[in-house]
Amino acid sequence: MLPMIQMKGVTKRFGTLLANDQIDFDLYPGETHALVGENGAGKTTLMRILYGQYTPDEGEISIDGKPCSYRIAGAMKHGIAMVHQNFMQIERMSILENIIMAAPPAKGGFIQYRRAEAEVKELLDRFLLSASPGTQIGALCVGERQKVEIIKALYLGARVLILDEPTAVLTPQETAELFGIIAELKKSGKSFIFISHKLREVMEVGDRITVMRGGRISQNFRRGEVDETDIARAMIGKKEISLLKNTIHDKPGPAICSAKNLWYVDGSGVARLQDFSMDIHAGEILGIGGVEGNGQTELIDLLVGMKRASSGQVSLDGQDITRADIRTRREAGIGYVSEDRMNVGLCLDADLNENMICGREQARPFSHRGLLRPSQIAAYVRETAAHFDIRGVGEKGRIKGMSGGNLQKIVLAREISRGPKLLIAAQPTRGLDIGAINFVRARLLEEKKRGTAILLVSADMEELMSLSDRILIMCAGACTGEVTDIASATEEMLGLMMGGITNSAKKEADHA
Amino acid sequence: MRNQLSKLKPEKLGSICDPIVAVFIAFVVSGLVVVISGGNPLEAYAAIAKGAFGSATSFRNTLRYTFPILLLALSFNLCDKCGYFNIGQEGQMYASALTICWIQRLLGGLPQPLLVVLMILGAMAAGGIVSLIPAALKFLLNINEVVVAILLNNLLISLSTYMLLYSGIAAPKSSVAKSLSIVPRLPLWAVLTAAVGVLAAYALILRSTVPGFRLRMIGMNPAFARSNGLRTVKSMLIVAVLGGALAGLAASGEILSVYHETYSAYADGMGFTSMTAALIGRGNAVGMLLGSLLLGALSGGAVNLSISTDTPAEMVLVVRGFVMLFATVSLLQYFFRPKTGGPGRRRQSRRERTVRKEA
Repeated sequence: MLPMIQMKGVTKRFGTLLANDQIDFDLYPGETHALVGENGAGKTTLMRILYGQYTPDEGEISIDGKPCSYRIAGAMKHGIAMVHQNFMQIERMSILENIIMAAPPAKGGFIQYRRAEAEVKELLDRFLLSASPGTQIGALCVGERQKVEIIKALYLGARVLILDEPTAVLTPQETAELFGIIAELKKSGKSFIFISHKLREVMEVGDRITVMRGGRISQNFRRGEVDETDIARAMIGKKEISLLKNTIHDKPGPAICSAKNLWYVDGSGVARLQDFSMDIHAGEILGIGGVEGNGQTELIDLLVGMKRASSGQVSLDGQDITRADIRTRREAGIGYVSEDRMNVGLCLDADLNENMICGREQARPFSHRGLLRPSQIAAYVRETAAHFDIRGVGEKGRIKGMSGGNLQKIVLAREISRGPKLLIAAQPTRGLDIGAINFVRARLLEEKKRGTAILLVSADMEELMSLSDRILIMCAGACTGEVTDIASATEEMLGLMMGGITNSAKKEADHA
Repeated sequence: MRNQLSKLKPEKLGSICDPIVAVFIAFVVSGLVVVISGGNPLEAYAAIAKGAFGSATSFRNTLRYTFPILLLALSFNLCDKCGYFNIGQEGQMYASALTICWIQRLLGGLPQPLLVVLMILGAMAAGGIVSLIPAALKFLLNINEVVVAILLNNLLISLSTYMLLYSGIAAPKSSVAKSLSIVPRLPLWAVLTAAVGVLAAYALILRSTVPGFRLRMIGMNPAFARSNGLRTVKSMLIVAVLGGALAGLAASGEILSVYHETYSAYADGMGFTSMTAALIGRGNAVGMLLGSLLLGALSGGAVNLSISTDTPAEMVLVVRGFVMLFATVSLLQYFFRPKTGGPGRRRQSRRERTVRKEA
């Protein structure tokens, strides 16, 4: 059978960086080809080349056996569509409008809404979406919005769907549903390229699995030929890998930080956080789980002081900090590893020194009587950077261009070296490679040992279960479950809580 | 280490070359305009250069135009660091001028040195307050500062014209909008020294003090600065006031050492000229000084241009316009960038983006 897409010897350079080196990649009709690799392995570059966003420096792409080159608009003509990780949707517009946006059926300059609506309705029904085509996209939940993206691609006539980390925002149940859709569409001859970090999913969904490392194809597998460790080895190129786990669940110390009946109502009147209460104890890692966008971000913002609570109380070490500003809270002992490392956690245009001391510039020994002391700062940074194993340089003295792992180490170095009482770590290992993940985990466990109270917010279930001493699950801004016995918890159980089914509700259901 | 250096060089060279190339292209294009209108561009530029630097008097004249541009360019650059697009400098200057006139009118009897100090402080305070209005609306209520500032400019021009015609500060027995004469004087050298001193202090503060550090961080990434406990809104408001105060300082220099009175629309076009100087300087102290000098020279040489050639003095405005246009676009980056189509393509300084957005 002729491959639908064949990429041969594709090479792409960015300056001196070789992002893709002689890559061969093909895709047959009706198959799912999974693409895995650490961040920076070149998956995204390869897909952007296929999608027409970049032009390759060398190599060629054939579609249906014919060599061709095109830009993004052309990719769609060849039936290649990408479902981005961050949905390209306009929240205020309806499902219908979002779907037909790229190619509205028009007659004499007027959009034929009725015809489009019928077509879209049919697609919605086929994918068991109960919402009507006129519903605003913003009103849908993440899983549904992803379905709409897939429907959009199909509506536009896609034969190949590139799914970029599609499960990152889904509950396990929604993930299973997505896999069902993929299986069904494959029967009708659609092909999928499935990009993911999660090895288990890759093995489940991929007919073929291509592992990339350092811009090259590291290994090709077929379904059933491999297990997770094989793939992991191919990804990092080492023999032994295992992620660090929290093994000591001893009795935690006194409560360091408590939140009482926190409410947060946003500008449009939606209660993003509803009556949320918790205690975090010294030497405890409290995991916060849940599908993203269910109040985790708001909770962090209220603890850090980025936002003010609508009502309720936050206290740190017995001191009420509900109305305190960010600086006061930081001085009182809150450390914060932001989930948005590139924009909030770091200043990419600043240099390493500036990133490391920002917020403490007035303290000794970094300045004296308002004047900065560059040599003292440099000495401190050199020492801390060595301690946190920060390597590599960015461009022009800035930290921009450093690898994700090193960037996260800078954040950790700054926040941990302040000696916080409460460390808030939001998605601390997202997008990092295995080596860096273990580094971050080791630091968090070390902090736990030191007696720091740690709030770990993560969308990665494996991470939550291996690091936390206790897990709270959030859904729609409220706490829908608490897991104290981590050892006996299962992902499925957490998944149900994430969907809003509380412990007690589940028990009732079980009884009935 | 060597590797790092070789990486550094072309970039640095680029950032120095960029404005020079921009200015050069502006002169070439303006030359074409001169040709079209029947003149000789080389003659015209020679006349401008002679008018600007030909004699001690003409150089003095150039410096007289340079100092307010420099102060306003600093004001623009400072505010821009905090994401506040200070396009209201002209309004700030009118408010400062009116304040000086009222001080003259009400407290004219005070000893001269005291009066000078009062006038300068008053002008700076007035500029600061006028600058604070759009900034506060922006940072507290998220209202676009450009719209507010431009409206405020118009309001203050009208207020100024009205006061200069009908209020206590109007020139006695005059039918044009002009103020009474301002008695205390400042020598030009004092004003120039002050301007260069402010420039040096600005560069020093930014580089090696704690407030300067905070300002740089807030300028580069406000979200980052805020999450690290810097008080961003407060800093931004302070900076807006300082920016306005610098405009007030420029206004007091103009009135106390050049005009000795004020008239309606005396600051017309100053805001855009200084913005151009700031753009040429790319936020660099020496760059801004050179940029201001260039634009000062254009203004200084304009008169000689119309006297000694057939080209009208307004040609200088054309040159200035083109300089601004080409300084806004980072040409070198655009043409000599490695053709990746990748991340590099989108790289541009925040300043350019802001300008483009506002334009």
